[in-house]
Amino acid sequence: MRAGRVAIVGVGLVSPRGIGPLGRVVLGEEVPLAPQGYAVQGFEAERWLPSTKTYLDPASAYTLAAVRMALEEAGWEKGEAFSETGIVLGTGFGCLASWQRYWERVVHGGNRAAHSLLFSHAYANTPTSLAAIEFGLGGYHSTVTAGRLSSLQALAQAGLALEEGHARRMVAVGVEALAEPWLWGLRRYWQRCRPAEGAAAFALEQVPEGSPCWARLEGWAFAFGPKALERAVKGVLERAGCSMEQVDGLLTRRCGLGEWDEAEEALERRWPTKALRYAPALEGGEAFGAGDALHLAYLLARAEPGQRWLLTSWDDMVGAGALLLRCEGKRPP
Amino acid sequence: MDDSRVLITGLGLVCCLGQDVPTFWRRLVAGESGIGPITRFPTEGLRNPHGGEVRDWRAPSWLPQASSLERATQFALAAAEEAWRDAGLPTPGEGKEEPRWGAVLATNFGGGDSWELFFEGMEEDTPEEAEALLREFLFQAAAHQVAERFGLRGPLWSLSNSCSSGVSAIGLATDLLRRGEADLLLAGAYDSLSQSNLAGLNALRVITPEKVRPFDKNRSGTLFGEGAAVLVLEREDHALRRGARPYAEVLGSSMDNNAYHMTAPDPGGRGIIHALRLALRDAGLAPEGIDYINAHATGTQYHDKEEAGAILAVFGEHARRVPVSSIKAATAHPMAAAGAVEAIACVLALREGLLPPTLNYETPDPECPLDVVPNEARPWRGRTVLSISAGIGGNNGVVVLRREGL
Repeated sequence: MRAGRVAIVGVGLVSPRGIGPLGRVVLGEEVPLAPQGYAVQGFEAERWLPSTKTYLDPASAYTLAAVRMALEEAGWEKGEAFSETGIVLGTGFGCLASWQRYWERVVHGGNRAAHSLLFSHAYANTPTSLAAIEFGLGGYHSTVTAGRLSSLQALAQAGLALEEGHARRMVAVGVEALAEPWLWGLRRYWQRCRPAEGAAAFALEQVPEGSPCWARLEGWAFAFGPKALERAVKGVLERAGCSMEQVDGLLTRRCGLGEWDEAEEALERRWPTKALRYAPALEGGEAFGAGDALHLAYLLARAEPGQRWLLTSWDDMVGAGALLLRCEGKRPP
Repeated sequence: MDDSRVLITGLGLVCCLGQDVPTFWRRLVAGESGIGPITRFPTEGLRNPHGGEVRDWRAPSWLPQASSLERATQFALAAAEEAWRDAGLPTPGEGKEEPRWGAVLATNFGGGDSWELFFEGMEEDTPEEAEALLREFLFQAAAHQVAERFGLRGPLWSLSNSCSSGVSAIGLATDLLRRGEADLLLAGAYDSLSQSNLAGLNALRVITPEKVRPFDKNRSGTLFGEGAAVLVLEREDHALRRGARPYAEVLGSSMDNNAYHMTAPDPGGRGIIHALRLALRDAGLAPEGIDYINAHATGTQYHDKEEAGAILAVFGEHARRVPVSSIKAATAHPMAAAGAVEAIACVLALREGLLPPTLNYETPDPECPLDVVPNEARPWRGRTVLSISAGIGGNNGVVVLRREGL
């Protein structure tokens, strides 16, 4: 692993705690709780989107706004369509609200009632494609749908694309929008951890040591099955050539599923006591596929330059993931 | 651990043309089509009641819980099982766990049948019933089942890159293996036909009222199908160590986006041109190094023309000499699975020295001036093939494969 070459040079955030480019947004500490969960409030799509859009799912609207902020903060001009700037987006449910609307029409009106625009705006990869279209991101392109692990894997795939030479610049996004089907289908969890939504976008490129950036990615690892979290953490530390003592803080997912929360708690107990702990879901809710991206953005806003953080995450169907990064504390004007 | 060669050592698939690789290949090169009437849900109001349905599908006997599993997941499991056995891997289900083996699977729609049942029960189902159906619908459901079945304990990925999903899964798996993030990965894609996806695809007005005719002047649209295809990909050192029999090497891949429109054609095929160039660069080849092209060519007027134009733009004069075929008239368009099914067709073409035909090709289109392999399989001797996929939202993917051995 060519550790630390991939840097986060711009961040855009649409979240219940605040909306804006990360360098300018003031994150609320008291997150307002709406009846359905921790919802994005005060979001005005037209403020961030250059043209009026129809049939835009909230997941797509959040994505477009967050990507625009990240590009602006990075100082990247709107890309030439076929430049080597790409995007990888992670989402657990995609545009599920639009999918529900589309399908309701078919259920009530038959096959002829299917609406082409609703349908084409209801794919999991719709937000990714719309961002590519809107901002001319014609390079490497992918959508990760790995449940709660989606946005961590999106960051890793974007980093991999840069390191493998598939792109020169990448945007990694995590997004989730509150939608009736998943709120209803997973309702037995919400007693333990309230649902949340939002998007965070990260502009990534390989920049020399010393160049200003929010953070540098030092490695990632994923594993499935028994002791997946332990193996993912061990894997990322080994690949980065880093020991537990060299990690200044642990950012854990902690979103209310007993077995996994216990694994993270066990990890924290094993870790040197001086290391900082941060678990944003405990206060801000569980944003499923966007969770890791939102948590990372919150971390970047508060971490001190030079700190090395380990982010851990998991999905009960996909396994565990770990991301190691060194914060640089860029605070753009 | 960096930059290993990545080899294909096992193949498995399910589609309307066959529920295993030997049947698929025998029927494909015999010029047969698996397209027929759709029987599983109401087709009233659809432009064409035919498609590539997998008929007479029964849950494989080795999967005791299969009858309660989502149909799309069953396809993925069956394809993975065939690929696993074909690669000569240890009998699954014996509790052996492999910390450096994993999977990259992709789907457009997840579990369509489960979504419909979930929606139907949204007022009444208990939390447990609702959650069970939602989990069957989720995009990562098949990856989870495959990992459990085969004791995969390494990285598990789930992608959704519309109809370039299959190629994307192969491309990402190749990168992960090259980088040493795993030793062996099952890579592939799957989708099942359901009313919830076909009604929408019908609304996009891409379905033909008659036959699928890729690259034919009188083509009028496509027909959708279903299935799954999975390839076993391994790092070369790992494959050699266990004495695997490689079919081919994955030389390179690409995935990009037209960055133009969600559904409208990309004028001049710029996105595909870009994807072709990136894949050739990744493979370290000049255009002249490609001996056969398996095109996405769905049979729509606009897509086939743009794809042909892109091939001409990148391959120049070589485009008129390199044989090209599309197998969509035989398999229908199996959505996410398309790229993986076609990659398997390419691997078999390399092994058997036979190019699959483009069925229903009767009237050459001057706007697609390619060496289309028409209606009958063509004996061929080549070493390197390229397969193209494209999908809604402007996604494109390309994979380049080279035959192993001589």
